Amino acid sequence: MAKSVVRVDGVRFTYQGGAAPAVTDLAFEIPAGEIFGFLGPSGAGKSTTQKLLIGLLTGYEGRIAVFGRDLGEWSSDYYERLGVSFEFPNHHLKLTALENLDYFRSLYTGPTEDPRTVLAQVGLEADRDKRVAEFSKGMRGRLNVARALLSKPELLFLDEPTAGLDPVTSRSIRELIRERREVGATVFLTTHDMVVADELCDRVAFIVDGRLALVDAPRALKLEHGRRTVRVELDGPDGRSVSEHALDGLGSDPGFLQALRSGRVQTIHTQETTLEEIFVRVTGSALS
Amino acid sequence: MDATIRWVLTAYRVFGPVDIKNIRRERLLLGLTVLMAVLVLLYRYGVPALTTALQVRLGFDLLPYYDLVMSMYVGTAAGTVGVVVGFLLLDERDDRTLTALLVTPLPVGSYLAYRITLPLALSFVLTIVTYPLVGIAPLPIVDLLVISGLASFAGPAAALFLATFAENKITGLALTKVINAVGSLPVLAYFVPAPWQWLAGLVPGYWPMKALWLAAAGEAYWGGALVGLVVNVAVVWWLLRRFDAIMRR
Repeated sequence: MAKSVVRVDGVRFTYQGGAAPAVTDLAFEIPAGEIFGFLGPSGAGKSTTQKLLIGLLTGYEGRIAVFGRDLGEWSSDYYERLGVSFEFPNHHLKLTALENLDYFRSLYTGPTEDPRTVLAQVGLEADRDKRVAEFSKGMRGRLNVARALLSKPELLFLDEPTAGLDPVTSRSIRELIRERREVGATVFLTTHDMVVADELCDRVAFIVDGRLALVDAPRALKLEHGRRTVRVELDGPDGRSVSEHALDGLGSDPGFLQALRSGRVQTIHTQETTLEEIFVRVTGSALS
Repeated sequence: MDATIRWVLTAYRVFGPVDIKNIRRERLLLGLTVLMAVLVLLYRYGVPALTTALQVRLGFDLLPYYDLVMSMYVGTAAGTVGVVVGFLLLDERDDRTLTALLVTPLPVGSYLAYRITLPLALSFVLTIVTYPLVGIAPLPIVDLLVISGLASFAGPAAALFLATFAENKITGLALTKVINAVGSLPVLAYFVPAPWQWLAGLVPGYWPMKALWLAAAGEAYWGGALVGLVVNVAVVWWLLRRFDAIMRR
């Protein structure tokens, strides 16, 4: 496993005046170059965890280390190495997209990206001289992502980066996230979109009621929580028929072989489950 | 150069142009900026005209009260700067840009230093430059320096008051009336004899007014100015602490 960029150990945090901790017993590691998905229902502790990791909340119990140093030991130079895209857009609405990025870029002392380059990467190049007040919600979200990329971050926090985007733009943002991983960046991705999580994340963590319910690779989770069967749909004179066959010994399963030879196969699907189903199961069981 | 000073200078270099653009692109703020120029003309030409009118029609001489009139000017000028900066802060809160700022290398303290020293400096310069331009109740430069210095605290105080207590720009507009009322209230103290007059000292804006009245009468004002400095610094400090907490929510 690559060296850990983020290490969280036994973290517990309670908001001032809060009756119960917002997160408790949090423990996970994120190795360099990984896209780590953080999933959970609203109010489960996703935002709190992200705020803890980016240093916006202090006074937690346990240990958080980023880039090998305790979070408390970092000064504001921590943010030279970070890129953060919040869920809600936060730009000067009266300034243009380019003016917003120019302004933020000048707050960094290290090497930065050309704002025009990142605007092009999120598909906003043609709108760079428009005031953000004229932007749609999706465009403002893309500008959030663009700003997070300005500092050439080693660690990127993305909160719902594809929310409200059309499929084409969503795909280009997903591609952009993959490109960051290719150049060695580590990504902490918070999302409700299970398709995005499944497609992008090397590992996902499910947080429920402030506790981590499970952490694993999407593929491993789907195999573990699914059935080791294959489902076959046939089209025939009496209508559609469906049969399910165990994967073990499939090559000698007479029913399966007969179905294949029938020439009436419409679809064949293995029955590993989806992340969405696991999400519902994990969060549902915890809520009940 | 010390890192803290370097960051504060960075804040001026970065936020200064952003503030100017935001003011130029917002009718309300542009209007308030123009209002400051109108205020100078109003006091310079309007007050003498009013004095003549009152003299002719009512036989009342306003001239002995020019120190009172100018104390109102001093409070209004600094307060207007504060309201403009306060609305910029409200914009930043509404647009959530403060949250974005917290995850940049710029230390929060540098941003806050900019947000305090800018209205302080602007209010000071505006008062010390425009007071002689109004020119109806001249003061020696040393007195003017002290009075402008005390009055300039109304800039950050008004700005932080708006940013701390207004939910948004609509309630901000309503609170501007509160700022005007509280800022003008100490004028009444002019007509109240000591020691009751000192009760007005709870309002920070009283102290530059009192210093002006004493200076115009040729009396010593240093003790009061010192107390005023303490009161004004305490109020701005308290508001700053509150704003800092809101910013980090």
